[in-house]
Amino acid sequence: MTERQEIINKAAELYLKYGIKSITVDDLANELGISKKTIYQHISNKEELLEAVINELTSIIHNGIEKEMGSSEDVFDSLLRVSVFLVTTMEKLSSSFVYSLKKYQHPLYCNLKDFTDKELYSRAEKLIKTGIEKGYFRNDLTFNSLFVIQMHKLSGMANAPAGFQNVQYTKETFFMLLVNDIRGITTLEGHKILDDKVKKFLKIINS
Amino acid sequence: MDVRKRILTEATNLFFQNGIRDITMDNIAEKLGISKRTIYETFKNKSELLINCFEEYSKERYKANEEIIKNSHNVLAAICSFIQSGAMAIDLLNPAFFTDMRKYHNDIWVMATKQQNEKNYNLAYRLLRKGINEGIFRKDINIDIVVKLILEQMKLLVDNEVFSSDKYSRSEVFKNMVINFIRGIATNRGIGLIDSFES
Repeated sequence: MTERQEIINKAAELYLKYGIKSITVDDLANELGISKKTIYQHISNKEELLEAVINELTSIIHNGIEKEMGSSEDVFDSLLRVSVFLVTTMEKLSSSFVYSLKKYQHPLYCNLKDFTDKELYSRAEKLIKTGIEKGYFRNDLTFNSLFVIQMHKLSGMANAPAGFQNVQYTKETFFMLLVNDIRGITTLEGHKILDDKVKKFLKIINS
Repeated sequence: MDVRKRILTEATNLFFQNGIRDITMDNIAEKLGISKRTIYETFKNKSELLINCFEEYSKERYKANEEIIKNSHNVLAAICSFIQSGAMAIDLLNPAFFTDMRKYHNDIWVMATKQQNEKNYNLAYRLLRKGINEGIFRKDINIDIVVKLILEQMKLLVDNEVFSSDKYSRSEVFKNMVINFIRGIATNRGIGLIDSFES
């Protein structure tokens, strides 16, 4: 790993843990055990650092979802794998980080939104269609509303709205919430397959 | 019906239909065929009247809710009735009611919504419990979290910024949000019932 990459990774870790505002370049230097001067050799200011960090995170989320979604021919496996990925990623995201990105309407937040609105939208639509054709998902769904609702739920969970601040999500609870959403659109026919798969994935989550 | 109750019922109706600002004590008195003085003998001012309207309304709703639960043969029938009566209530409400409340009587509004949220929480909690006992909802759901999710989604359902009424029909959003959500927490037997209910 290059020194620059090391700095970015450490910054990402600290931002995620404590939010963006409370971390100074001094903190970062201390944590890495290097001088501030060394950091400034690679990155000219905090804004540039933030940009690099967010780019890194966006591509992790982006690639992760893309990979898991296309990982199987089976619609349930794909959705459950995306769910596991989201659960493990969300665990690392602090709400203050997401909140500050959103609040300042950072251009990179818009990048991520662009990805969810376009690419993720069409991929998810294809997946739901396949499920409907196989008789696993209800055929009276309207994909557009479904997608809008789901995105709201996900960002709601990441932002911890009022009433949720004190809720400690375990990985399992969060996973089951996502499973609820899959169960909701699944036909009785599909449930015969889904229930066993959920059990299998729960074991992975808890291990 | 005693005068106090008549005033509260009429005032509540007028506020719901027209908002708060446009309704004067004179309007209420005129509608009831009583003098303004009689109203002022019971309620010091409009704020006091409003607070009492909320209290009375909340009591009435509680009674109605108990009736629904008592008369429904299972939890799904009860939920259906709640949704129907809720939708009807929203249809009758003038949006000006909400804007006036926030703008001119925000302290009362904050207090009233807080109390209402607690009541809604308790009601949803009871319904989920009941559904689990009836074998319609899964035993392994975390009731507290599921209730909070339901309340959040209720807000989303009436959020005109997300689901503007010119782009989304209410039934479409309802189908994709509420029905899916209930199916998600249901047992297979429950899902069978919901799907037959829906058609």
